[in-house]
Amino acid sequence: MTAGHMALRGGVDIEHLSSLIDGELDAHEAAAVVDALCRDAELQRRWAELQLVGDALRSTDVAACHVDGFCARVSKALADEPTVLAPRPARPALRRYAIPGVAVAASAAAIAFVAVPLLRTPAADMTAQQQQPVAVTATAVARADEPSAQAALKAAAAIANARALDPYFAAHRELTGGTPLPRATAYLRTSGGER
Amino acid sequence: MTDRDIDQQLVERVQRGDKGAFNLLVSKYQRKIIRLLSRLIRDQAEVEDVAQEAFIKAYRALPNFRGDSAFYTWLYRIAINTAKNHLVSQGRRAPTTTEADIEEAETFDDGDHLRDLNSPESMLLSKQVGEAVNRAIDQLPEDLRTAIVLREIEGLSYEEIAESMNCPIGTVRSRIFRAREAIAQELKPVLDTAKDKRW
Repeated sequence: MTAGHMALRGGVDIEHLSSLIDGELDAHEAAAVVDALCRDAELQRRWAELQLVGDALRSTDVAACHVDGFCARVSKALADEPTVLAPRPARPALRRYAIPGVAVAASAAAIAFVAVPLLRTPAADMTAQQQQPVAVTATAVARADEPSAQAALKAAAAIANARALDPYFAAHRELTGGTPLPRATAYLRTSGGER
Repeated sequence: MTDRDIDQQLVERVQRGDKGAFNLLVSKYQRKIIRLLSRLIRDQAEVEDVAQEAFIKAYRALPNFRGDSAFYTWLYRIAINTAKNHLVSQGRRAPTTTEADIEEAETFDDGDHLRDLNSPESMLLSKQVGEAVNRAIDQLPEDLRTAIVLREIEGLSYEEIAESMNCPIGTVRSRIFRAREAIAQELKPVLDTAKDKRW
């Protein structure tokens, strides 16, 4: 086994380090080597050595600027510095799922707001209309001893009389088809007739 | 994965609180930065102080580095600004480099704008480094020499070298690595980079 094949941390050998410097590792391999490099003192020493060799091969002037112990000096100064931390970006999962989720919920709410009143069936309307005077009347009776009781009773009587119009409304709905979208139907009929 | 990608990986590790990753960037770029500063500041001790200050400033500013430019380009600008501030604080005139000068100087070819480095000491050391490299390459076996020359001088990829030398990529990888080891051994006495020392 040569020195280059001496497996260091995580199965990474120094030959891998040489390949990393040459940009000859794929992203997965490179990440593994960088990870090992950041944890292994021997790999760090060899990294520095290989960087110096690279500088010497590319420019003897640059290599001649090597200052022995400079890294140790900077490292010591760095040790006195507070550890820097970059703000973390928003979690991708949150960004990926939360925003579309909110959009879907908003769309559903908008559809419900617009469509539900239109989808109410005539029968349901009828039921509501029939129940309302009863409720109002009961309230009015309960509050008959109050000063406004007379006005309330008059209003209840008027609503009760309106029930007499129910057959008329029912007949009218039969004539118009009683569709959930009466106005849209009218528009479609009009625009269809023009063709 | 490119050289810039590797730097970015190290930068991201530093941004997550790994100080050790920054030391790797220092060991990679120390000579380039010192050479740059030597062209702006005459005194070698001051050069080293300013280089250290530039690296520490870069470390402090690293949370704001987003990788829009290469790490070295960013570091280079910090080093230039640190040198200018140093010269101003010393009551000396800072060089009036423009952005264009900085870009040019990055290639270390614009001797007109920056001070010439040709002091007798630096020339001697540069010559010794060159001799050590040449000696190491001359002593290499033919296959190792060819591989390292094709890689470092011709800039071929491992795949191209493998094709050229008619051998597997794994063999190319091994040959290049062994050549580098041999060159490093030859450089150690010249640059005093003994194994027990931390660079």
